[in-house]
Amino acid sequence: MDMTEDLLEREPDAPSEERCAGCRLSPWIRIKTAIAAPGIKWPWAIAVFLIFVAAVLWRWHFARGAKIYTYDSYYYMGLARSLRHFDYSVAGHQHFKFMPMYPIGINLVNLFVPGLETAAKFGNVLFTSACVIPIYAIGTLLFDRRAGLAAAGLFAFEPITTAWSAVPMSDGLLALLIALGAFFFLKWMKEDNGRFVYLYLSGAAGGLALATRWEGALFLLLVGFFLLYFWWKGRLRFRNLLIFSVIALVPFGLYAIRNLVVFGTPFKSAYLEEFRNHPKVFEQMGPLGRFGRYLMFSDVRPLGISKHYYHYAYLIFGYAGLALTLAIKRYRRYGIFLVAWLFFLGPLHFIWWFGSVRFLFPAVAPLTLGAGALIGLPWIKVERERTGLAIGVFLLALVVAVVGVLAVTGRPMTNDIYNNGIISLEDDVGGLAARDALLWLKDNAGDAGVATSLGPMASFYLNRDAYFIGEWQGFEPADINIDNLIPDAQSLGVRYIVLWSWENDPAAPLSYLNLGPELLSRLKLVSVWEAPPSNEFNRTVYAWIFEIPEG
Amino acid sequence: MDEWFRWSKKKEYLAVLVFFFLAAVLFTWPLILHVHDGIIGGHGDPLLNTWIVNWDARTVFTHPTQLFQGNIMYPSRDVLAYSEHLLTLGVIAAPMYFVTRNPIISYNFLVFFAFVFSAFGCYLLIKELTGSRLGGVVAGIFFALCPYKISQLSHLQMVFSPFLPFMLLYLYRFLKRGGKRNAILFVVFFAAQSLANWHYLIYCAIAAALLWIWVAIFTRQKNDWKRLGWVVIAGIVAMLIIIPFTIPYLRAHSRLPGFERSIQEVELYAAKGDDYERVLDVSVVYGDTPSPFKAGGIGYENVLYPGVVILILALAGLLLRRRKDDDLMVFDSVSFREGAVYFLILGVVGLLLAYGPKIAGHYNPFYMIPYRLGLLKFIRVPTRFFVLIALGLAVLGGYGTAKLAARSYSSRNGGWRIGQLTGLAIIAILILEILTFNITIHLIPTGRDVPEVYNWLRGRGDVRMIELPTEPLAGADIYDRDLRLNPVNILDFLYREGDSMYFSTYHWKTMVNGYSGYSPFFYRRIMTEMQGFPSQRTIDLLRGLNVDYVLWDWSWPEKNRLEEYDMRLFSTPGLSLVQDFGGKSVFRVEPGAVATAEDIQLSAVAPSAARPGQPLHLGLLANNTSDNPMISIEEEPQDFSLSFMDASGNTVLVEKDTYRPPFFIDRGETISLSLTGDKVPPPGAYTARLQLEGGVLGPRSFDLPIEIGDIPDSKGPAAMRGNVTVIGQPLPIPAPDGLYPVTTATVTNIGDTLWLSLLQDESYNLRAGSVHLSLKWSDASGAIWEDQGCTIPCDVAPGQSIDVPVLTRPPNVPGDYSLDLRLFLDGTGYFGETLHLNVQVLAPRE
Repeated sequence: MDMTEDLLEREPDAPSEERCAGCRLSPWIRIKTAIAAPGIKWPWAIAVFLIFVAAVLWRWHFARGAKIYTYDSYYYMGLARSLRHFDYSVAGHQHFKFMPMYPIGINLVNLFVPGLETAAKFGNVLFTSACVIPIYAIGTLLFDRRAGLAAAGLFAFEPITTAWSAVPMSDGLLALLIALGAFFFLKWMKEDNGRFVYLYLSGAAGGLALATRWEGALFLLLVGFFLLYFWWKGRLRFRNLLIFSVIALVPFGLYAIRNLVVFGTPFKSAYLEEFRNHPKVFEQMGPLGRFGRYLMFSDVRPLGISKHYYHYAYLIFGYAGLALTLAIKRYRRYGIFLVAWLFFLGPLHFIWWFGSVRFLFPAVAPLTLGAGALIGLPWIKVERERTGLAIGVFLLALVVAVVGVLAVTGRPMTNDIYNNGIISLEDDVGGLAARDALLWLKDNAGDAGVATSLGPMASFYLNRDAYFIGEWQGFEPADINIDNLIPDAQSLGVRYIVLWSWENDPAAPLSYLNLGPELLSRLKLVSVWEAPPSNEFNRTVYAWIFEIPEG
Repeated sequence: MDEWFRWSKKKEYLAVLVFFFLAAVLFTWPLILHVHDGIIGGHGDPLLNTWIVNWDARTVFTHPTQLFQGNIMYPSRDVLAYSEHLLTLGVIAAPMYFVTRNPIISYNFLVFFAFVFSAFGCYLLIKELTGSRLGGVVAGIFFALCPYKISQLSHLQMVFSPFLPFMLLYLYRFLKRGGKRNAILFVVFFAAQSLANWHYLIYCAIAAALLWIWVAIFTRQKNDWKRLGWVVIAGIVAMLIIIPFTIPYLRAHSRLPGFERSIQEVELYAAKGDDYERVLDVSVVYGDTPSPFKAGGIGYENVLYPGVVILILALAGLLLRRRKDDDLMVFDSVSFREGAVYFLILGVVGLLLAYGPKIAGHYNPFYMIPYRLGLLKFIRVPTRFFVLIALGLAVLGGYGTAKLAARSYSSRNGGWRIGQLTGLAIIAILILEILTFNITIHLIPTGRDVPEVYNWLRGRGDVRMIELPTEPLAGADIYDRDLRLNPVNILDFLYREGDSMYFSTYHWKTMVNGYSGYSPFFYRRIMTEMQGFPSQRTIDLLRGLNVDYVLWDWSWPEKNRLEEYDMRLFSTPGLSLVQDFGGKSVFRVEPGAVATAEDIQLSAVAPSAARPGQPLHLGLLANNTSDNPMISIEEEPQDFSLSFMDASGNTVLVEKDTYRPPFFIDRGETISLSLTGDKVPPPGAYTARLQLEGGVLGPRSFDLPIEIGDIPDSKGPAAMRGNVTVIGQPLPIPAPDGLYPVTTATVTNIGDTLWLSLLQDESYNLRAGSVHLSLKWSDASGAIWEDQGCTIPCDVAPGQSIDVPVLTRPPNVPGDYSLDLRLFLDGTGYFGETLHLNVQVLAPRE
């Protein structure tokens, strides 16, 4: 597409006088001016708001159907609860895997959404849906309003982010912070006026992203490369770089200080251990294979879940649009940023041994922006005098039609990811039966000690700490040694143990822990909960509550 | 506009052709990797078309007079006329065929040719109408590669539409500028497209006629009227080129029943409202078919969803109007009227015709009037009129693109370069929306991978052969008339026959196998009989047909019958192994004597009473008295005359009509032939003189007493009484399956009602009011093999008895069976007593 090299020269956004006038104004005044500006902008703002509402409703439709969540979700909710007591632990264990921004976010949402569980779910939906605003802003900034609207519309119904915002997870907040960081960075990059406030805001958003998930570091790395380039080109000084870095690292720094206090080292993370000791047996696909699959936005087997490979139409529109931005000189440098954003937050995940299409969550925004740049035909200016307004109607119709088509045709993939990734949790590690059993215990066990093989889920539903039977997820130490189950439990004052199985046999849950059925003679079965499958993705699951004999 | 292309015409055309070729490669991926050994759409229609185009390519330059006498479906004639003859395709594929001798390469060459030149024709058309190259590319891409066209990849004849836009292009040019060259090219492309596919004759005729009318409405100048006159002459010339190729079709139509499409069949394949929501499963965007879309795929006839992008572009093409500073051709009012508006009308006409006989349950005069006039009677699938919709949308989309590109405006550059970018982006968006990818390729053996037996056959000289065994057939209900072919698995059957036809392109020997748009009686009868192969009866049939070789494929029979077939193939007299080729063995059918017409003892049967004003059904009972089979491969209906003489010997009525000659009468077998007289004289006593006027059975004459009077018949409410008798118990049937004349029954009408026989409809079913003899096979456990029937040779008057030869398909498993014979009134039910016969079906070794 080099033929378009000279088709579009870079255009200033406004006459130079106006820009200089803008330079002198503070951002707040400029925002107020923008809001007060008469004319065509309000319909666009209303359109974006409607897209945001649609995104929330669409995602909430899926979130409402999710009854059981991932282990991570229970950690996040447990951490959100413990943060209220200025603690950062789950089940009595000081935590060192998930970072605190999302638990903080849950508490903030909980200020106006009642119920921790609902707030956590709604929080993810809200944060994910809110991405449409910076996406629209970036699209408008780089291309034009039509492109921004198209990108926002596409994101609103995008399958990966829709399906994975149905459970309390930090992906939505991460994507939002990265999109905000990208917006501020591009704003600074585009407005060559020597003011660094947007750059620092970008650093702040990136820093918060790093304090949300480790992938935030990839964003900072991406921006870092660009900053080094601009530093080399003389557009910013070392001082600016330093300030950016300090701002970006403050949130993580605070977390590191907490680690230092609690663990004696600032860089303690379960991820480090997990990466070092990951079971090679699961790594059926090498890094290059993972890179390829992520490039296609396909799920990564064997741990992936989606069967979709090329019916993800967002991909072809997104990649074609990004190619277009690279081909047109006027858009090229922003195109490079969008492509780098996509690759850093998407395919670059190949470095992590564990694979899931969910990891592509923060890479969806640049993909939709690329698609928006294509279907918005942003270089066509609509002016009453020169072009007539009818052309604007057709261009908008084209945007609405293509966005509509991609939204509708994305539905099977959304369902597929949702069913295989989220609904399938209903029989996982006790699933619905375990939830019911734990809620029963919460109401009936008083303060009696509880131990479980269900992980952090038990502590969440009990609303207090439950002991871990055996290690959990390779990083949580065992409170109760499996080989010494009853004596250990007795010594900790545990009265009930909660186990699970897929078979209706009290010996089955013990066998999952490699314990023989002879142990049954020393345990008293309190009750068993059964959750029949409500769909094709699950089977019947059982949760067992046993009473431990007094020591 | 589009100054960006500063290339010479040659370079421009080359670039556009390369672009369309690359698009075709992408949309059909990975066909390009299997262009020599793979096809899209399975072994059915694509292999039929492979056979046709290679037959054309081989024959048209070597034996042009034999073009329609294809080597399949022996002994039928004009077999190429049973489907599209695809002559244009054969001519285009000929160089490829003669150079590579690979039928699959020839076929796939045509696939890519069709896509590339359909797109290119549309490109040139839009360039002519709007001056926009980018609009041309959009139109070309959509017309050539729209979802409907991709869904038709199993029907090459529908994909092959390149000359339709070329025809319109030169018609436009001639109407605008005149010129002999334009007129000649109009005729050439009209004829070329029409000779590619008869559907396109209709499309070309509609498109040309509509344009002629549309232009004529606005014509004021004398010169323009002159040109319109020349177009009429050019159209006549084109038709004169085309008409000779219709003769074999008309010939076949006149002698073969069921050659035209019934309304019921047409309705089945007519477009329905929700077909416009049907998408391709190989579509990148729509492949997972979310609601409200419906699932479709390659081979479907009703994937009519065009996509949203082309609809918006088409709307833009229609609705974006000229502004005062628009001086581009695309905004020219004449171009708009003669281009955009005309193609809108053409698309609407296509839409109305695609709905077939009914629109939302209501009579569709747009389809039915031409159907009644006989113009559409050969069309089975009205949805194929979607091609006209696709062309209309493509051209309107081209207009839309041209207008959007023209209106694209940049504050700095003044517009035109931005316009090109707009056009390119629209092309990209359109392609992405309708893109298909990863289409299933069916690998076909070619060259050295072709089974050795076919190369062996190539060196055999002038021989006839049949590939056996056949795919199992389900019951046909009635076997002694124009029976239907009813494979248990229609796709397996067609695929197997398709393979046989395809492999015949390596030896070109005359063969019984094959399939096409029409199955002649001979083919249906032989395939039904061959279910019993290798029985003595089937070998008699093959011998009578002068079939030299049976190619037996050991992978086709059921595994549990392999041993039985092995024993029978080597023990049945008249069959000898020629050579074994691993999985396939060639057997020779030993030649032998056949019976002639003189060996046939003929008697006529007629009702002793009939009703005035009703057709009269008579019959001939033909008994082969010789020790040899009698075969007639004459398809031509035979003439007879029926005259009625009153008591004084005066002839009061003479009627001439035709009857189907006998095809196969095995030694000792009696068959019945039906004859119908449409008129009878007024009430009274007559002698009906039936005269066969030569032909297969020679000249014969029969006098039959008949009384015409007002008696009730079986079509109306009546008390039906009758009985069935046979003399003795039938002999054991020597082999299972196939067909076998098990006995001759006598039916007697003991009621007061005339039994009508042989009211067959177009689907070979007996209509309500017909009386036939029901046959029910059941084994000791009571399990029924299948319900069958036997026609009664003629109408039966009260008190009359008629002999009924009972031809039946015995069970395919040897054993002792009960065969129940009972009279059956179609539309009402059984009547009379049931006659139980014990019949033994012998195992072959017995």
